[in-house]
Amino acid sequence: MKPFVWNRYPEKMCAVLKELKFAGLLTSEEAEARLLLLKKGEIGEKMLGNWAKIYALIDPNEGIFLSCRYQAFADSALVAALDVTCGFIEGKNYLQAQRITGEIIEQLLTEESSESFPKELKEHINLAILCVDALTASCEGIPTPSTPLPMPGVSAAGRVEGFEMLSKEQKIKAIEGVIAQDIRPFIELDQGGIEIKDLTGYKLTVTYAGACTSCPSSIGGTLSYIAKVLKEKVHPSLDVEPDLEALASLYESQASLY
Amino acid sequence: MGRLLRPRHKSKKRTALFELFLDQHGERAPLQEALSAAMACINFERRGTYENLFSGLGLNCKHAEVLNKWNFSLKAIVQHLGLNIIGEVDESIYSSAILTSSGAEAICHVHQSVYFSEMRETGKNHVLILSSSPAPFHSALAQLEPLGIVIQQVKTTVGSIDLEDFESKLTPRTALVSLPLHDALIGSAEPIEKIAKMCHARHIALHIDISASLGRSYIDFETIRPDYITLCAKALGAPFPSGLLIKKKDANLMPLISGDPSQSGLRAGGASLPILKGVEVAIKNAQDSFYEVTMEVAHQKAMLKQKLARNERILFFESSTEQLPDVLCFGFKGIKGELFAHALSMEGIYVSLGGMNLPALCQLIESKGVDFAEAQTAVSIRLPVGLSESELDWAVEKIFEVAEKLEGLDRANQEEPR
Repeated sequence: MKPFVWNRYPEKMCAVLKELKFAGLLTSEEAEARLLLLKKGEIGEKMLGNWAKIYALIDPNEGIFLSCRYQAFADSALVAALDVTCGFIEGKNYLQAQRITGEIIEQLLTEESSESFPKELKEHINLAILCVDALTASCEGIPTPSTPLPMPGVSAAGRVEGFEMLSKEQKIKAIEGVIAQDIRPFIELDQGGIEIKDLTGYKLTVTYAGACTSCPSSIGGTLSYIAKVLKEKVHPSLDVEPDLEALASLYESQASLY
Repeated sequence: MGRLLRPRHKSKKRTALFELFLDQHGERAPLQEALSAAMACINFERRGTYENLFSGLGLNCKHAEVLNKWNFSLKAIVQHLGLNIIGEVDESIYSSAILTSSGAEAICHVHQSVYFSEMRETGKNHVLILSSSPAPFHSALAQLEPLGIVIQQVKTTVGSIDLEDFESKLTPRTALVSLPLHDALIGSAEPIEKIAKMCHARHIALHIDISASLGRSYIDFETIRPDYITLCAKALGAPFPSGLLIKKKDANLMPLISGDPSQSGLRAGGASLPILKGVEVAIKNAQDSFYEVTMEVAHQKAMLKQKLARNERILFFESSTEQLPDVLCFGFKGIKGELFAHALSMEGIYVSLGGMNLPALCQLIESKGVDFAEAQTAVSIRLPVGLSESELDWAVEKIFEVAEKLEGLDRANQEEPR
């Protein structure tokens, strides 16, 4: 017999529910005054107790959500999911918001907590995603210049214990685990990808894929974010460098197209 | 602060300094007096074992002593309930009672007994229950349904049972009417005198569960004369697990499992004197606090209602019939009850939404004719005896604080009607 679901809420989720930062309403007057567009995404039914509506002020030239608020008549799990979702999509363009996944919301609700998100409540995360989908669908046609995604802050978590003692394969496996959980989901929001090419001592070589290959941030901000996460979560001596040969050949092949 | 608020345990999740339990609708912490009475029956000389009725049967004189205590305790319970004066001059018609492991078991025992002793014998196979009854009423009968019984569920309207619907469902094949006297979550009473009259006129067995009613409302057993009375003793603060089943002299009762001569062969399994003593004390305590609950707590409830009514977004869910004096159902427009209850729990105030053995509060309120969206805002509180005015004020302050914090979720309704 499991304890009541509230007792299994992760600490972060409780903290979110204690202070709902994004509950509220945005009006068309506010949008007009700031020369922005007001967009809304709605799901569910009040009658069923799962109604939610996200309001967003969007930049008509960049497609970026500058402010997000939500209204809800729903359970605490959906309200918590909506609150972190609004916080996450604020500052991103609607195409990036479209790629938000359940794993990201779950991570935002559980980071630094010892408990995981209660399994039986995961449908609420899906409802929050559907609400974002309804919002982004209403933004179709707004231009979106490609801007790299600002990365979330690195959460302090336990490093891999005894990393030095592991074999190369085990080290790569440990690094892959952190990449899969903390790096890849955020890069995928920009239609990018990342793979481990090699590990020599503490030097990790990574290969970019998708939109990352043509993004200047892949050897700038994104790279330093990846290095920071891996230093924090795997080993402080780890150095990350991109596979420059692969990048160069890609640049050349793209240049030859013009 | 008064005595009910207690410092809360340290937790990373919740930061409230005190906590107040207003959710003791179905169970409460055991009373100190009940535990002491139970402890006094544990025989430490005999390696601390419980005194069971038939331990050492025929081997020593202890048995007679324990049996005497057992019978004395049962008589005391019958007396505390006021059942001793019903019947003949010297003998009550309610002299037979069994201690069960829970209120749910007692209810199940009644249903199964009626099935085996009457339904199978006579062919009368209909049972009438309320659609809004607690889970044990439904689950016990669901087990018997494949064996051929027909469960008739009576609708409840605003307040209580729909008497017309009830009467129309009483047929010559009805063997049993089984219902709780009060609804624990809303506190509404059923018109039991009228129901009893109809049952007696048709020779239908009547079972009432008084778990939510004892010590909180006057029960006129003389008029009702139910065939079976059940009680969940943990709701009264008895050591648990414990429940009680009292039957009228001529009502049939058979054991669910045979094999133990304890309790006149009506229930297998050891009959624990310490638990029975605890139940006796808890029942006495409930009856003794009748005045306090119906006068002082009822007054506090009225005060609380008055204070809460200052908020224009408040909704009260009340029945049109007699209500338990310590139960109040309310909600705030546009805030779902589950979210509100969770936010209150973070502040150290615990309220009920139903669940476990009790029905879901929102469904219960909807069955009383309230719009379902509105019913979903409801939470239920049961005011404990001994709540001080400062504790009540603290609770009101926290309730308003939480409601104000969550109000931001319902601005669309105020500014942009849908």
